[in-house]
Parts: sequence; structure tokens; C-alpha cells
Amino acid sequence: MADKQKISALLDGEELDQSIINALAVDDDSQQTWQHFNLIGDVMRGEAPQNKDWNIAASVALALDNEPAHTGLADISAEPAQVIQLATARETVEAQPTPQQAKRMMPAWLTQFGQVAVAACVSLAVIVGVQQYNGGDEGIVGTPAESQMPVLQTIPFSGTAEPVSLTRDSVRSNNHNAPSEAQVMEQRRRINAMLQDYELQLRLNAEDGSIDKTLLEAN
Amino acid sequence: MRKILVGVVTLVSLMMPLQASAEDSVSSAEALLHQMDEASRELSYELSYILIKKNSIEPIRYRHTFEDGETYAHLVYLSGPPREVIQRGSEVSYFEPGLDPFTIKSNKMVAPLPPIMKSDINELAQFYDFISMGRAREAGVACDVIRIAPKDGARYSYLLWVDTRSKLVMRADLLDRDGEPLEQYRAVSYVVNPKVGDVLRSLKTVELPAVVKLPPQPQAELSWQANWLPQGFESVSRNRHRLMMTERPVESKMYSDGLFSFSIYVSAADNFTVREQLVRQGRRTLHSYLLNDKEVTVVGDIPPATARRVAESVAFVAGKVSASGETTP
Repeated sequence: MADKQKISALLDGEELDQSIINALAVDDDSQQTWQHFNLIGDVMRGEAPQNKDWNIAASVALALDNEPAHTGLADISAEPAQVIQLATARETVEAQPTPQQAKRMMPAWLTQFGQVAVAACVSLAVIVGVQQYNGGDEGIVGTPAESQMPVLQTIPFSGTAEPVSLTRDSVRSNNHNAPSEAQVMEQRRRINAMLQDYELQLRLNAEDGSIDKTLLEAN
Repeated sequence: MRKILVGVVTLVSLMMPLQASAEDSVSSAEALLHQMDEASRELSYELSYILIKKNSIEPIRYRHTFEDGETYAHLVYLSGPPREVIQRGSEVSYFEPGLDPFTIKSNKMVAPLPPIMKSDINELAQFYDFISMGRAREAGVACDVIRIAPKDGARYSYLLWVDTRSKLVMRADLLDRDGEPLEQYRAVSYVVNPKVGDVLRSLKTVELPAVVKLPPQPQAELSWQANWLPQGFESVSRNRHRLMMTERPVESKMYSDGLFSFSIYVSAADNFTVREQLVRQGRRTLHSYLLNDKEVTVVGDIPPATARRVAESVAFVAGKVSASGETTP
């Protein structure tokens, strides 16, 4: 009885006694009581199992007992596995063909053709892909080195300031090794004049209907 | 043997739909460009956009209407000193600080407008691929994105965002060969409404500067020629004149492919001439170099490598009188 009270208390979460837990683990009666109490509780809460075979743990344990054991060497002696004779296996299982046989079955040119075909497919895919991607670059200007040419990035025309820069070594060494300031100024003036004239020409020739709407920002 | 045949047939049949769909998207992109062309020529609209360059952002407003077979358009720079371009039928007037306003007989405004509005799409199709790039949102509306890529690598390409409803250009990026944007036109707001036409009607009565009467410019026979041009570039004009700023006499030829253009200038070399130089300002490239006693300069909206190649292909035709006599400074 004392056990049952303790179990009830444990179930209600009122008491946590190590001794009763040990008893539950060992004692069959206590286990039975624990199960019953749980079942009563379930029924009272309306959570009774639908199936009458609610004692799943017991049935699993039972099933495990009936299960033949498969551990250790003892099992093999008790229930010897079926041994297949090597000779019979050779007859029943289809053997891997030797390379010579395989060759005989497929003509040599065919295997080689297969390899070549795969290679051709890959290269075709690559070529088509590259062409699609590059969109036919036949007319590309110059060599890669040329297209990588360093370029002076100057500030675009905007209102008043129009700085234009030059590479120093590009200036012609015409009796002077370094360009004088006046020279640089003159060159900038010329560049601007050229750009301005281009703008003007664009406008004058726009009538032809074939000129881009280009920027018109020269003053 | 049959297996191989079947394999080959399967491969080919796999390739075909790919090819077909590629062509399909190209043609649909081209059809869209035609619609865009039509819309930007015929609708009445007001487009506010910003032009973004490496070091500057310029807000611009463009109004356009089409009435009685005449185009009326008005482009204004919204910040800084007033700059305007007015198109009235076949006359285009330019108002700029530092220059007297002037009017030119022309049916085309040369101004920072979103590109390829009013270009001949059919002609461009010979030299450019139009590739549909899917959809994106720009200026608050859904847009179809189209790439205009040159078939050769010798010029820049454009990326266009076209409004799915009005078919107007909402954004345009000018890209160089590495895909780096050089310029961007980005619409901020737009209105498609016949009332824009009412606003522009006032242009009919505005007094604009008289049309500049240019002396008839003979298409001069020049003693040089460019032996290499990117495919599709054709000579638009050639003449001899003096530069406005420096009074330097030059001979020039202008070429265009319908979307981009460039000029070749040839002038006499002097002490200031540089052996070789390259200047780049956003989309514009200037490449000049010394050829014998002449300075050859290529200016235009082409990549530096192309400009250089064009400049270096210039050759003087033997037997003809050089213009050096009249171009001595």
C-alpha cells in the first residue's frame, strides 16, 4: 500500500523518491501498479486508448522474445546459413565477359567511334556555347593588347570646367624634352576645339537622319 | 548503326528548338524596338529623366508631340545655366550659354535624348543584335529589357528598358566592351497625354532665331581615305573648314552607322602636334597621331581601340594634290 501511495504521489509529480524509482525499475508489482494508475488516469481524462491492445511495451517485449537470436558464432552453428557451392554459382550467375570476349562482341571501330562521338559532342557544345556567348566576334578590333590599351579618363564636358590631360611621354619631343606649359595649354585648346567642332558637325549633318542623338554639351 | 543514326537525329532535334527559340526572342526584341520607335515618334508625352555620367548628373525634361505631320519637341536642362533645344517641324533651334542661339534646318534634334529613339531599326538590324533580356521595373513601371549589341566588337552597346504599356524608353545604359556603363539615361517620371500637345502648341507662335543659311558646302574631294572602317559606317559628309575656336583649317569626314558616329580630321602638323595621344571623355574618344607631316585625328562615339585602328588606316592617296597649301596656319 505504501508503495501504491508513493507511486501515486510520483505520478502526480508531488514526490520524487529515488527508492520508488528503483522499485519501479525492478519490481513487477510496482510496474503493474504504475501501469494501472496511468491507465486509470488516461480513462479519467478521456484519453483512453482506442485499441484494447494498449500494452504496446508488453507486446513488443513478447515479440522480441519470440524473435530468433542472431548474435555471435553460436547462431551460425544453431541455424547454419545456406552455403552456395562455387561450382554451381559459376553456372547460375552470368560471368563478366573478358576483354577479349567484349571486343569480339563489339567491333573495334564502333567502340572508338563511340569515344570520338562523345568527344565531338563535347567540343560541339563548347563551340556552340562560345559562339552564342560571344555573338560572333570575328570583326573584333585589333589584338587583346590593343583593346586593353590604357586610356585617359578625363572629366566629361560639364558647364565650364573642361580639363583634358595628356600623357607626358606622348608629347612630341620637338627640340624640347618636356612640353612647356604653353604647349600643353595649346594642346588642350586644340582638343577642345576638335571636340566642339565634332558636336557642331553632328548637328549640321543630323538632317541626314542617320546620326545618333549624341550629346551636345560643348559650350 | 541504327543506334548511331538515332543518336545523331536526337542531337540535331535537340539543337533545333534552341536555335529556333533564340531567333524567336531576337525577332520579338526587334518587334518591340519597332513599337518603341513608333511610340516615341507619334505619342504626346513628357519625359523627365536624369543623365548620369562618370562625374555628373544632369536632370533633363523632354516634351514631344506629333501634330499635322509635324514634330514638336522641347528639351530643357533643368539645372544650371538655361540650355534648351526646340524642334518645330523641320527646324531645330539651339539655345546655349556662351553662343548666340541659332536655328538649323534639320528634322532631328541633336541632344542628350535616350538613344535610338528615331533611328532606323531595320538598318540597325544589319549591324546589331537585338537580344531580349527579360523584364525589370524602371520608373515605377514594368519594362522589357533589350540589349542592342554590335555584331562586331568595334563599338559600344546599349541596354534599353522599354515600358510594356506605352513602349517609351524608361532607361538606357551605354555600355563599353567590358560591360561597364559609360552613361545612363534614367526616366524619373513620364506622362503620356494629349495635353502635352496643348502645352507644346505655344511653340508654334514663339519667335525663334532665323534659320542659319549655310553656304552650300561642296562635298570636297579629299586627298586621303580611311582604309578600314567598322562594318556599317558610311560617309555622311566630307568638307574643309576652319575650327571655330582655333581657326585651324582642317579637312574632315564624318561617318555614321545610324546609331553611333565619328569624324576623321586631317590637319597640317606643327610644333604643337603630339606624336600620339588618346583622350576619352565618357562616350567620346579622341585619338590623334602624326602621319608624315599631317595630324590625323579621329573623334567620335567609338571605343578607343576602334578609333585607333581607324586613325592608323588613314592613307594619303598618291597623285592628288594635298590640301597642305591652303591649310598652313
